[in-house]
Amino acid sequence: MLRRDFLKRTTLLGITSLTTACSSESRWKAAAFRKPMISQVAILKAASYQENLVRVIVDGIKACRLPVLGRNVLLKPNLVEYERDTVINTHPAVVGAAIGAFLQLGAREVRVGEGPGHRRDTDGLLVASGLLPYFKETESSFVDLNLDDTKRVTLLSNFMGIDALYVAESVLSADLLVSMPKVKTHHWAGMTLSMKNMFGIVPGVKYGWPKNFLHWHGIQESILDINSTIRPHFVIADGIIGMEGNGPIQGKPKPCGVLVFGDDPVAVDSTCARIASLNPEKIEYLRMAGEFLGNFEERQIEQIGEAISRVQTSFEVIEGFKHLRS
Amino acid sequence: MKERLLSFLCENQNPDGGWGYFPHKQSALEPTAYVVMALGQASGHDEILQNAVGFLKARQTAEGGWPINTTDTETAVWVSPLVGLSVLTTSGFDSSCQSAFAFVLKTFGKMPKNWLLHLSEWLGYGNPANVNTNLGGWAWNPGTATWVEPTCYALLFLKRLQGKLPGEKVAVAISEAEAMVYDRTCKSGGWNYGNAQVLGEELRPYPLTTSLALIALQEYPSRIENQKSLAYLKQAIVVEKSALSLCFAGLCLDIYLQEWQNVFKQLDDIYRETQFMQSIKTAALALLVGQAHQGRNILKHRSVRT
Repeated sequence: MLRRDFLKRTTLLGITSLTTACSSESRWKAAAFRKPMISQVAILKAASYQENLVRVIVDGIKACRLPVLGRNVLLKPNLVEYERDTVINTHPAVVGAAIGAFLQLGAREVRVGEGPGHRRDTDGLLVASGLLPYFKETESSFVDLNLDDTKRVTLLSNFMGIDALYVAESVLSADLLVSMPKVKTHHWAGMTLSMKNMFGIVPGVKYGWPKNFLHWHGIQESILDINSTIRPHFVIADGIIGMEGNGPIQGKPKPCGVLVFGDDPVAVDSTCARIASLNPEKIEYLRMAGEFLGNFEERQIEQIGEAISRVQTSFEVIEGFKHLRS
Repeated sequence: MKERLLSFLCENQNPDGGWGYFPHKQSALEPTAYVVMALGQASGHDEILQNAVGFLKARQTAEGGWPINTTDTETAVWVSPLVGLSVLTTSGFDSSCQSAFAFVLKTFGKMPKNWLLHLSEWLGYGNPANVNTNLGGWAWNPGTATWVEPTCYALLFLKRLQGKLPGEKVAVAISEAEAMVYDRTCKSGGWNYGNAQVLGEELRPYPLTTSLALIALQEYPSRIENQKSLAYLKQAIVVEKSALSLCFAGLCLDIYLQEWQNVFKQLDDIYRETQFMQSIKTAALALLVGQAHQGRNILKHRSVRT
């Protein structure tokens, strides 16, 4: 009862305050952002992690006409915790396949970077999650974004009420930053997708474990400021098996059988929400991002590959986020 | 392994005297602090050590603390007691430590309350993490919530200084911070980053923070929380894959006079397999573990309170 009431009331209050506070363009400079007229999002089927995922990812990248040749790529998966038989992280097979796909398409270098939000022992996470062997296999390397060199970056929007954030240097030096989230529900933000996944580029060495500084300034607000300033160039969302219920850690596996691709994070995240039968208009940071960062309305998104209706499935949500279903 | 780790550290000292978290990275205060502690207990590296201590002292800010690295312009709450401890154990109690002590004491405080916490309390629900917000501790960043790890570093530093500096304020801060760490103990024993539960759901502990908290609370080996946490740690490290966590676990088990020979073997295996992923901090900690095995555990308090 306590938990349900608390979530319901605080979520509604949070939405009201963000909406009220952000109704003017004072939170961002319109001239700094140009939304595409139409965003392309590719939904490709992948029934399991045992499939030839390199082929699926190559197809997804080609479908979105992403230039890869000669570029220095940084893949940013979601690597949070490891617990057996859970689906917390972007599956290592998807990360490994993405390394292979980008190399096959002529990338100069492919690295994987993540700054886990809860744990400092990234070395153990890499081994336990099964990700480590893929680096040896592909001669790729891993960058712990929590401990990377840091650079102060001036924010291009003002939701958090601060001027700048420190960001991992490897993120800034990459030609192509690819956000690779797991499609999951999130007990504070509704859903965690490619935009929320960008919390991992903010170094723990500066902001701590957990990155409480971001929570302190508002999760939705932080998502907006980080993505307005460091926008991922491409998204590959792991929805082969997503997470429903009490995500992002304690939720249950939810098979969806898809990988979702696109160069507009707002459009990809909105599409993932629709696949999960959740209304992106009710996820406040997505709705707000749709005003200046990218497209979130269905009519502004050109769907490639599978139609949403063919892969749509119903994600369970905790009590405080039941309104996302409407 | 010891000789190879020493060579690795000596070869990768930056020209400014510090070390990055990994080779060829900008010097950062945390890995440098651990390397200084490790080299301070090794012999034959005087010049490297002297340059490293020089690096630490030169980076001390006017506030008395240290930033996280050479490009950071702010004094970091969490890393300052750790660097203070490093300077204290290698150079003794000097003006640098005195300034650090003042900074650490100044940054002790209770958890500030944002609108969400105020609202929650107003609605009569307490706070989502069910922690006692009236107990003071240390945060990662000024003005944000208090957490286990930064509080443990501050406790280690302040306890080492007890007796050198008079004042009731220190004793009060230590006592309250200890209570704060105990308040964050997970139900099954052990600690994670600092929330035993969130929104009514129990969270699980981590070996690394559990080790750190037990080290910071080493004067109370008989307390039920210490006993439960120690039991959790001994069980958890059997399957632990992180060299970093194993290092802290080794230092902790040594202090609590527990059997930890297996930790050595696990560390050795991981080193053969991954060379600790080129981590400077882990290499330094592994040396500290080896020194602990020879009876020189740098995190063991010499004078204990009962």
